[in-house]
Amino acid sequence: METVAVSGPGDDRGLAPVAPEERWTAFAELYRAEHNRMLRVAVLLTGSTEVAQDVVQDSFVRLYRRWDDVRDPSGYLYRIVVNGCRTHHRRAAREQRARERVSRAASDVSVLGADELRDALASLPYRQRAALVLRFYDDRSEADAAEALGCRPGTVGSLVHRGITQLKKVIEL
Amino acid sequence: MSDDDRLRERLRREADRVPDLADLDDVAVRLGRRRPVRERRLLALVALALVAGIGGGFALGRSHSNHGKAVSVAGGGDAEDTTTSPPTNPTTMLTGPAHTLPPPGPDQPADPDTARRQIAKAYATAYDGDVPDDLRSKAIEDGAGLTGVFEQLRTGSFAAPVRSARTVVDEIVFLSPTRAAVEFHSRLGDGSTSGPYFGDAFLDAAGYFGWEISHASYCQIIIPAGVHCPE
Repeated sequence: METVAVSGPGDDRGLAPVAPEERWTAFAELYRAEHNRMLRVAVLLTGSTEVAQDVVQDSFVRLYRRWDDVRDPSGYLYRIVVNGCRTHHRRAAREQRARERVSRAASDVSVLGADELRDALASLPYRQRAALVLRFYDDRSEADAAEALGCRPGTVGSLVHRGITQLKKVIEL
Repeated sequence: MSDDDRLRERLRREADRVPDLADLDDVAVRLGRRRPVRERRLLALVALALVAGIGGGFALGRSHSNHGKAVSVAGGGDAEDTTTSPPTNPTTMLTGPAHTLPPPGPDQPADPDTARRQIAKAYATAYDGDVPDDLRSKAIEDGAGLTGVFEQLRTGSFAAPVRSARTVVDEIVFLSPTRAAVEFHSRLGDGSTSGPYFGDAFLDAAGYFGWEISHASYCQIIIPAGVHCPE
């Protein structure tokens, strides 16, 4: 029998091979604990529930495949979800259309409907949007947000400032 | 209230509109071999239609809340006399297509309780719906060569019942200290049951679960679902 030593979320113990059964049990537990929060973050980052679900599910797949190598599964998951949303952002020509649509509507805020916040977020550059979501929705510290975004903490503050300024041009906060 | 607080509040309200879409089965499927979202949805719809009545039930011998002995076994055929000495090659079915379990052999395992637990674990791993391929393959003889079969089951005509299946081992008969015949059924996600089925297991002390399901036994159970099982 293989050695069983599952590293839990935030656990910084040494890594050891994990038996597949134990790995799946621990993974399923993390999935149930984290999926909904990850999905919400991803929806705010992508503006699409369908895309967000695809990104989050794929992120869990990547996490499972690297389970034995990852010391902090929750932290790793968070990073790959944020990165997955950024990858989507780069590919999404649709977003450009949303930006143009929101720009046209910016002169008349009342035109925006129930999805105005999503549309307004979609009008921001990805890093500004991610900084706002990570800081203000998920209550991440600047340091945590910086790690997920791959930048310096000071940059997060700048992104937040510019993001809010831009957002206020599009919607009333 | 500051802009920061107002944005925080709006983001939370927006996030509260997101439905709970947790689907661990979908992760298990993606861990097998990925198909496009659209294709997966289409397959799920086809499976749903079949299960809803067009196909008249799960091809593996589904019976709605009827776990009676009269339900035919996958593969069909008459019961065989399996009371003779079992073959030594585990790739040969020990029990054959059968409607009942054979009587126990003269020699039994030294620790039958442990053996039963290991066999039940192997069966649940082999036939439960939400098990990753790398683990499932360890429960079956030469299971590493069956990943394509697992994928066929997950995405074929009976994907919905296959993915929701929970295995219940009903009875284990030891034919020898190293061989056993097993009766089991599956509980499906819609509340119905599928089975009973009859399979086998053999002791592989170096194996992951201790006891494994023979390749032939596994394939005989799943072939009626329309999958190709390699030799």
